[in-house]
Amino acid sequence: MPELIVENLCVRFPSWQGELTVVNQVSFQLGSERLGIVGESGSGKSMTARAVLGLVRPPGKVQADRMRFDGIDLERMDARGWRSIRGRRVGMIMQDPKYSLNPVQRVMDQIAEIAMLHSDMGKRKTRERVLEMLSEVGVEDPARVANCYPHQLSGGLGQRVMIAAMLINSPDLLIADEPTSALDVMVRGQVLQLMDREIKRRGMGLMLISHDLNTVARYCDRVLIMYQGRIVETCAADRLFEAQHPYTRGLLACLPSVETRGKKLSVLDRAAINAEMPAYG
Amino acid sequence: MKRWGRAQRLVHGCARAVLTLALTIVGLLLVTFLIQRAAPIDPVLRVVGDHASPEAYKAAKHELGLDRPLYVQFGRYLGDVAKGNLGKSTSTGRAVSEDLREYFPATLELSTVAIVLGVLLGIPLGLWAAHQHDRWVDQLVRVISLFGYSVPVFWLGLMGLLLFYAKLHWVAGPGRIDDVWQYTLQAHSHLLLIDTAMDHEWAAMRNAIAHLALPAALLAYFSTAYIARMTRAFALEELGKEYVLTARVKGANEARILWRHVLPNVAAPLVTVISLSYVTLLEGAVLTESVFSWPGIGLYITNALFSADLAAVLGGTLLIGFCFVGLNTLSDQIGYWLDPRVR
Repeated sequence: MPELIVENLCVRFPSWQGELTVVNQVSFQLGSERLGIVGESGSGKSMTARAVLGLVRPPGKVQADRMRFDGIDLERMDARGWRSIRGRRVGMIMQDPKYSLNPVQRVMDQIAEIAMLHSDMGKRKTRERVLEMLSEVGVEDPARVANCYPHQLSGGLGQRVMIAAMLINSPDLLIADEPTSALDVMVRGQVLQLMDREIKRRGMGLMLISHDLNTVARYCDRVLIMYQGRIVETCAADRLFEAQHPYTRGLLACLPSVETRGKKLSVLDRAAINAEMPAYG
Repeated sequence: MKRWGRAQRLVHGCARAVLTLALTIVGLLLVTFLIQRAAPIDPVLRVVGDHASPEAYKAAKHELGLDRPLYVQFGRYLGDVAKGNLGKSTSTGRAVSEDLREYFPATLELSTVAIVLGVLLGIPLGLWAAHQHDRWVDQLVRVISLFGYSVPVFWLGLMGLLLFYAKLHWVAGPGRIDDVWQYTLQAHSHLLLIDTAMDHEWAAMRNAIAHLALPAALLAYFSTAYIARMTRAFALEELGKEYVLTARVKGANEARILWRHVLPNVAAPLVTVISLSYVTLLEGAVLTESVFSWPGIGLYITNALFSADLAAVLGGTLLIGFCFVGLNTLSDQIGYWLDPRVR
């Protein structure tokens, strides 16, 4: 099984206060399992995902002791090499289909594009494949949806379209960057279940980035917790609620539940966390 | 039901466009009409002369309809314009509409060649500059644009003539065509490139191109600078959007991202930019036409102004106004059609 190996990944951006390290010595491995990355905004989880796809734009700088995918050295990759991995072997789904789909292109063309970029299938066959793919991701009326522009779709439907596009080439790894944050609570579960089903059916790997501990606990095997660019804790998803790190404990304390009903929810106490881990402060 | 809704919306949209167009044109006619009345040039005196008797003056005034109320005069003016009667030019002695039919194509030919070059060069240059943000291509485009703003067109025209015509003999001099062909060519459309092609006059065509090259290149330079700068600005904004990231994730290369993803998204505002640039050219680049003795509408209006030829000035103004209004309406419609979100 192709494996993603990342060792001591750092992403830095220049700023007027000197260099800013947004991802700091992050290491993990990912095969055909479901890896969750949780953390607050700005903790470096999205930037980690982008670094893995070579999508950190200048002036950002990526550095790692080792970064390999299926034995391919990602650090020495040129533009052509990246294009053969992106969309073909690794796909990525972003937060809001309203922005991640091209507003002036029909759904059919947007999904067909990723298929045509990586295969010599004819136009007609590709179109058939797109319709097939749409029904695989649970779109009831593929022909109609294929003919729509993104603004004519609901958020849930848009995200299904993104999933269909990213899975059409049967990649080995899917990165989902907050795939349900922009969706209605009602459709979140449906989209996550759909992703989970397809991932398992294809035996792919999943990197699920989220700020929602419950989501990650439910749909992942293993969880990385990031805080200020670093991984502060790694644990099995079913042990997430027994996590030890002060930051994770702080996050867990903020979750609403039956017990907290009617009481004031606690707020993350950053001063206390930073005091407990001076290295990060 | 839905199909009917769309058809209805289309009809509604067209009707509104036509109504707006009509109102704007009537407004334009009102302005040119009032200028005629307000100008310190007495049309009656132009007919009867300075030493006419009061009776002759009165009779001429009556004959011209100038003793009627203003709204009646305006109504008559509207009718005349609708019939294509723009009055008689006092400096050329011909009907203004006839003059315009001859002079305007010269401007049209020059502007069209310039705008086509401007679009063909400006859009790729702008996209490239956006892609190479802050690197040398981007700087180059900025310098070209800056030079375009700060250097007066007549100076650049004169320098061009000095270098390419007087020194290097690469292009022909002022005018549209050499005298040899001036009176022998059949005028079908008054567009020389088309007229010469229709009659297979290839030598004449080459000559016309040699005359056209320098002024067209000069105007193309200004529209290229403008279109490139706007394309760059629009594209830079789009490149920061998430669908571009999606395209990269799909494995699309940079050229594909620029031409297939970014360009269609900036097409609607670009059409407006191009049409504005085209209208500016059609207004008759007065200075360019003067420098190159180009017998276009800019030169026509300038000459008419110097001889207080009001009918000619207003006729030309009206034509330019029509172009402006027409092109604006057209570019709005194309803009709607290009953007599925407002379509």
